[in-house]
Amino acid sequence: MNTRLILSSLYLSVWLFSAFGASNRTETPQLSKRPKVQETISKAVRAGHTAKRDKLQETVQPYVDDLNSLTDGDRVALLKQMALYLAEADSEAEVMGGSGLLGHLKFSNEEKIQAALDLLAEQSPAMQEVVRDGILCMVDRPQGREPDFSPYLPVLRKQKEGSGLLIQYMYEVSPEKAKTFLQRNGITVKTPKQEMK
Amino acid sequence: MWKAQPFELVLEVGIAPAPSGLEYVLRRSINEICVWDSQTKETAILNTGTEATVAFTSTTRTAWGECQTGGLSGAADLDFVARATATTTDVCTDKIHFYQFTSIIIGLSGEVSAGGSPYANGMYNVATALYQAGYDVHYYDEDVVGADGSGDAYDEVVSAIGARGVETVAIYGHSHGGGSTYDLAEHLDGNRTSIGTFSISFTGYVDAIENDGYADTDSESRRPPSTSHHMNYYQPIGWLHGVPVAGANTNLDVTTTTWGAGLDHTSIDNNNTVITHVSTQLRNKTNP
Repeated sequence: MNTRLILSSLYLSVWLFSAFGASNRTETPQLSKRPKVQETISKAVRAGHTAKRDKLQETVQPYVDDLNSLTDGDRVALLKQMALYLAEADSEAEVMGGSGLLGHLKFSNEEKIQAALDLLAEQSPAMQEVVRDGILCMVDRPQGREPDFSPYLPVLRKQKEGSGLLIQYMYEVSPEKAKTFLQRNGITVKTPKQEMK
Repeated sequence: MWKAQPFELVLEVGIAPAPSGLEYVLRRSINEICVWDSQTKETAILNTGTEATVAFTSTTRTAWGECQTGGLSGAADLDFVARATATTTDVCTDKIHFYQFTSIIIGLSGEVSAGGSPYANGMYNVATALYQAGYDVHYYDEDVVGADGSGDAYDEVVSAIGARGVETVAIYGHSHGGGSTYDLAEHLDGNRTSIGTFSISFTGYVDAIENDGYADTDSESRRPPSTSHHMNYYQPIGWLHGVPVAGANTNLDVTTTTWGAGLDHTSIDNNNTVITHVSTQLRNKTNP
């Protein structure tokens, strides 16, 4: 007898990816560092960290131009390389300078969410901190107050790959708000059927 | 009334046994402080009178102290004395001073990299100086303070006020620790009804950055709610920099000083003058 395993509340018809994406993580190609991009990020961080405020823009802009060129204008790819840099930062100057560059590059919410959908599958705790507290946090709690998950609605509606991990993240941030949000918006994430004997 | 926790006491002398004409003595200022030869209190060393001679067969001796009966109503001293037997004058003394904390100090580091340590941040040096000056200092990675101010540091303050009779709170931090200083003060101020009576005597920012998340780079410009005295030291270089805080008692761009001219966001916290000024200003506004 086949039984569909449904992990959901009475109100929330979210069928979770098997172990919330644990199995499809193996299909996600590991994010790899692009040495030239990392080197340029490092130079930009150092330059921006010590530039005088009125010279900041002109000091950093050549590096920003290089980064855009090296990533062929692919902002999501650039953001993922930024996340790699931050996850491997080994000094306060790199962490905070990297955060400064991240802010300077002014990634849109859409770019942050798209990068996060890929990065949430990364296993490293440092990367998880960067994605959750450095990228997604600034999407759903830009002022540090109550989370607002509405920026995630378009990708959840399209059920893009990684949506399951995004929902898991939302539940970790605020189970009540995540449940209410998903219920109110009728979000249903279809999953491969799991069979029980 | 308050009660000191039982404590291990390691007595050290330069010469053992005491040389001729000298004796080693434990002396207490009040009878509630007692000293025993073991943790299980088989033999009293000092349990009657105000003092007792202590014999040494080697240069160190371990003893155990406790606050007996109901507790202490004020400060107390336990002196360890080398005394001239002929004249009963003290040749040299060491002292444990017992007193009840009236304040709690929260120190917060800046952001810490993976594998890094919050103890590398200069705010730890401030905490060490305050600890050595007899303050009840609790030092944390800024991550313990949530964006809404909740977390371990908040719980510790609430416990100190509710269970230990503490009446005064002081908070300081660098970078995101400065932003968390604001968040913690705001959360405490917003929950006064449930916490109990307390005042915030001092808050300190060192190049403070708002801490709404790991990558928040906004300068912290808000004065912490209800603080009696706010100190704000900042530098204007680079992406990450503090700014003047309206209503702060001290607003100082350290790069305008001779000692701080070359400082940036990640060197300002380790500057000795900054460390000394945070410690000194906090002590001027807060009793232990």
